[in-house]
Amino acid sequence: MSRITRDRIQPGQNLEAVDLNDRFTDYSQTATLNEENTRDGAFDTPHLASGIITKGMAKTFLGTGDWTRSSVNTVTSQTAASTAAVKFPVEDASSTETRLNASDLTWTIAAKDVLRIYWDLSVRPMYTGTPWTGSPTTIQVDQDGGGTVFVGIGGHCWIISLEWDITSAALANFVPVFGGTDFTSSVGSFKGGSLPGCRHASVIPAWRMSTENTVDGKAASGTTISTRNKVYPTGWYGASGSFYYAPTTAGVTVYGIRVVVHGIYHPANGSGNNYLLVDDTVGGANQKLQYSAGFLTAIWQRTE
Amino acid sequence: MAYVPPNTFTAGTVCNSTQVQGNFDALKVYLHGGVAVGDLQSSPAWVEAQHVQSPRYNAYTGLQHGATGHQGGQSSGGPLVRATFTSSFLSGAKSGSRDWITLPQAALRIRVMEPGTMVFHYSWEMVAGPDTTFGSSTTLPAIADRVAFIAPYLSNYSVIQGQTDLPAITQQGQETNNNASGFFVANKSPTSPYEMIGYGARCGTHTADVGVGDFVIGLCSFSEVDRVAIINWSVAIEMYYL
Repeated sequence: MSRITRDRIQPGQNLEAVDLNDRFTDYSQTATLNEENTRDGAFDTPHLASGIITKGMAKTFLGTGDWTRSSVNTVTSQTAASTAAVKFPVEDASSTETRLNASDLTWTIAAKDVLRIYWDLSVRPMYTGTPWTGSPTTIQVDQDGGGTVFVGIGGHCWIISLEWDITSAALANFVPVFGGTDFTSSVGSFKGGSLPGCRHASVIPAWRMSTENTVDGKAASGTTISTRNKVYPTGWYGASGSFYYAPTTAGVTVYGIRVVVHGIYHPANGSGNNYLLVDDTVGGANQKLQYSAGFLTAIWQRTE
Repeated sequence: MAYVPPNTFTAGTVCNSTQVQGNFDALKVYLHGGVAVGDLQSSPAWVEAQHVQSPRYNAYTGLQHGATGHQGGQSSGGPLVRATFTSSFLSGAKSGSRDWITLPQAALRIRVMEPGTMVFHYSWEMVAGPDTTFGSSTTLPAIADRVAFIAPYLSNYSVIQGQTDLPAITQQGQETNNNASGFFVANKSPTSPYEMIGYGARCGTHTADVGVGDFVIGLCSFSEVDRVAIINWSVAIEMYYL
């Protein structure tokens, strides 16, 4: 409370040198002026210094940057289900990672700070043939006229997830952002990540499929996949994601942030938990994800 | 600088009026010249919301502007405008042009009073096509591969007004595939709902450091599909001076 409360000199009192000095030194109040010296609504824009709430902002374009698709990058699906996810960082047309580096960041996220990350990327899932046949998440339905047909349940997907490097500016130790799975959990002979750990991930449908249940719930008869089932390509697709990190105690120093692509996954349940697991039965060189252009940005702010 | 009396008085010495006046003059300079940073209490922090001037709210633009920046947004073009559109007939895609055209009702104009950081959030739901029509352009993809893009743009208002090809941030263009099959209303369930392709719900965020000026930030489109309905959308802005 910064107030001068010294009593006045009363008639009959002596005025000493020390009294006179006190009258002046009362105004020397280092680091004490506060709300007692300020009226409501006193502060407007000119009073405020910069850099108080928004501590930092960084951004970069992702991928080839070519929205016309003259230049696209391609990621091929994983073929070994028993190994952990093989993740491909998003790169430009010269195979250089497009990411936020230590020169953009090197942000120490303190308690009551928040790190906000947003990204978007144009992608195109592609496939050849009927890769869902034999997948653990394929169902076999009766066909009108006899026989059966395999139908994917629509759960196959690619994953795009966020990673950061909180070790050093060398950026040799990218890991999933806080709370995100690394897709290394084992469920039987499969590897993948639990759904609660997918807060840093966005999924892209690998294809869209349905069947015409025309007669007694049976798939329509026919000799080709196009007549038995309805399968549509996902086509070029605007994918996006966001992530927030708000530690309650002193947090980490972030040196790098990047976006990685991996797949193809299928949904599964093991021991009462839901997972996305690498599906090797649909993997192969013909199942791939193309990507072109996107954007990655991070904002570092204090919350109070 | 903080106030320090230039003269100190000693017992048994004559009190000089010049010294007393000197202390008053120094105090006048301190009080009129502004409080030094070191005199302000820094711990604990004490500036509360009521100490900052209240922001102004503009109901027409849906934006609030105060000492710390802007915030606000729109999710319609007004009480009677709940949908907007884009079209290849405007982007020129079928004749070889690649113009990024405005997405009506999906932009904000703000007057930035201090250099700051702008965060622009947007989302939309789109129904693209069905478009099974012919196009003569060599750059127009096959029917099944046609898409409708929406991307953000940011420009100084004095630069952008009247432009027909907007300065889209094309790297952030997000697309929705054309409904190449058309709407099926076949008499067999559950075919119909699954065959309404061409639907896309998208969202994104753009950030920028901007200086003082009159800016427009919004959404624009390049469509290869002839008729595209945007049935829901939102644009919102956070603008931090601090």
